[in-house]
Amino acid sequence: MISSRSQFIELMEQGAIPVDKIGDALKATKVAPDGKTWRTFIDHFLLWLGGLALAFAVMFFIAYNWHAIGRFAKFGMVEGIVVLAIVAYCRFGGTSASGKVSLLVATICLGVLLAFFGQTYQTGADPWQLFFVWALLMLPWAIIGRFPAIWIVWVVLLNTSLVLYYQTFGGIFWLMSGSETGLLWLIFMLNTLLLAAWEVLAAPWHWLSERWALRLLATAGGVPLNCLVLQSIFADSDASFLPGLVWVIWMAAMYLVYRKTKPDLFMLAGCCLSGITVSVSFLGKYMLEYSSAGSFLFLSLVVIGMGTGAAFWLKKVHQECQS
Amino acid sequence: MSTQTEQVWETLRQAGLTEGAAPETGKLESPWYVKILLAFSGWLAAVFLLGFIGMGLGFVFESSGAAMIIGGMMIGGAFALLRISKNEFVEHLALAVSLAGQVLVVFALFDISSSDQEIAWLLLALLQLSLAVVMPNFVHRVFSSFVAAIAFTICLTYWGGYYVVGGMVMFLAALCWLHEFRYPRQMKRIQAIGYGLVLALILLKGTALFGYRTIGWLFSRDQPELWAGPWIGELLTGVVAIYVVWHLLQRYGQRISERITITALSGTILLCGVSMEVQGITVGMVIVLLGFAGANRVLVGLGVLSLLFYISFYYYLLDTTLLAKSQTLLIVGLVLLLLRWLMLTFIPANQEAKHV
Repeated sequence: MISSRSQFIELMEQGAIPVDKIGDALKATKVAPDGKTWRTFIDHFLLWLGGLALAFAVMFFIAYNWHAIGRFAKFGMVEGIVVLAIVAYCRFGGTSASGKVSLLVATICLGVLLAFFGQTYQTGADPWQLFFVWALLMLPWAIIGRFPAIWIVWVVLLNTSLVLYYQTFGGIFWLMSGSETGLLWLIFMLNTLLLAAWEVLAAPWHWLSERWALRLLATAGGVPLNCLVLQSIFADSDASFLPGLVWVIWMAAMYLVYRKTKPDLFMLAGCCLSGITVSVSFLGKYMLEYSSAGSFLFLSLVVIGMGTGAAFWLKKVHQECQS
Repeated sequence: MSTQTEQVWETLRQAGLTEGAAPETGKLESPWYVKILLAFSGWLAAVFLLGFIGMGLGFVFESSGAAMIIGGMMIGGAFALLRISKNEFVEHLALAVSLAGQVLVVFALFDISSSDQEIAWLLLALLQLSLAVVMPNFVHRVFSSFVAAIAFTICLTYWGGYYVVGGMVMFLAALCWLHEFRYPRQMKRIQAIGYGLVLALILLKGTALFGYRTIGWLFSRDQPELWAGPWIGELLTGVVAIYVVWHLLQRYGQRISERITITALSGTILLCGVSMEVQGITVGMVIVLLGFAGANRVLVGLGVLSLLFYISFYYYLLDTTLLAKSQTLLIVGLVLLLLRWLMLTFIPANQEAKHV
């Protein structure tokens, strides 16, 4: 969707477009899409939603564990769908929407097949193995697929298998603490590493540079780190300075990358939100110890001041990015 | 003025829709995440402000009359601040003061009408509705219209009409988005209310998915008798979906007898029919349609997210077996792909382009 919406609204707010010509202006600027754009959109929308509904239908059917149909028939059905989806991918080609939907349906059905295998033969495998093997086996499809949605599915599977592994064994590598803190560190490190790798690889492979995927990864890395910092602030004893130190480094890195190298307002807004939350929590812990009215008023003004500063700065950066 | 705005101006000038040089300065619309930041800081500041009132002016929470007066004064003060100043700090301050004032007023409302909770919810809905209209702040309007829709739903649930509210909210949201550019002076107001209603709609449909018992904790006295079942809700949703499609066809000058109109309307009716069981699919699709019609990425994103959410959570619905759900999804999926095939076959690309 190539949109001039914001610019159109800016002009409308100034009264620069005559009222009787708004309808035509909407069409001229493509804020109101033309017939061709509508057709492509409906085509893609029906295809994606239809494909997902069919993949979910297979998933629900296998999950029901219907005894009227034998296990070989079920295996045959799911395997048949996977093969059919891959044939469809080869037929439509990787660049078309139909090809991408086929590959995603194949990926989802592959997971259903693995789950059904585990359920039928009671292999004794841990749940994390299902998601890990799924992520491993779908990797070639993600590589040939060359579209962000399939890679995000891979990232979700990797995160899920990591969480389940940690819950099963109470730790991983040197992070054998078994506590919630260890898990938060792991999720932060995994998603931050993936974000860094994604950003680096997006330079040669432009199809990776879709902002929504990068923003999702940054959020998946930033949220656990913020939880760690808040935990260390509100911990009664044994407060560690490590989360705070890592948070400062992370904020500085985010600023350098998304302000100086690759301007991205979403990332900067996220950092501002994180900055307000952490600073107010830190101040709140010490100022609200004696619950005085003045402390509450002071904190309220601090939040308003920081919010104002953040909004002012972000608007300035936004103006810069647009000019 | 930004380069992109200058380009848009040039496009308009070349189309003969504007004349002369581009306007000098303009206020660029903030992206949605900057508005979320504003809403978050306003909410957090309001929490501390309430803490200050609770600690310093304890009597306010002991008397509903005092809470009502102080709360009302705070809302009035916030309105005056927003009217007088366009300063960033004052805007944040006013938002926080208004939110804290609203909490005091709500506290007083529920304290006064302890035995008639539905009246309190109705009054809250009316208060938020008026704030959504009069408060000259985008984030405030989104928040107020969202709360107004939720409060009105709860009020109507007391009167047994829980399942009809979704359709009503969806209709109002559709009206806002279909006519967002119709009244230039009211554009921002309409858009803010539209966002609030869409957010409320997504939440309401999410709770409806699990049955109205999800909000049953609100009804401490007795469970209200519902006179409208879930199917009425889905029927209303379907009617609104048909209205939206019809309106969009009209916008592009399509007559009822034309192939595009017949295909689009019959496709919508068929889709609404088969997705009666998977609640939320029609709602999600309508939000996506409304968003695309105005090149509104935020609305399209909200629609897509709600669709993914509704289909995923359909798994946990306890009323039907997984086998029945699987059959329903199979039919929905096949109908969607059939509709796509029909569109590609019966509406050739050049015909669509010719009409618009």
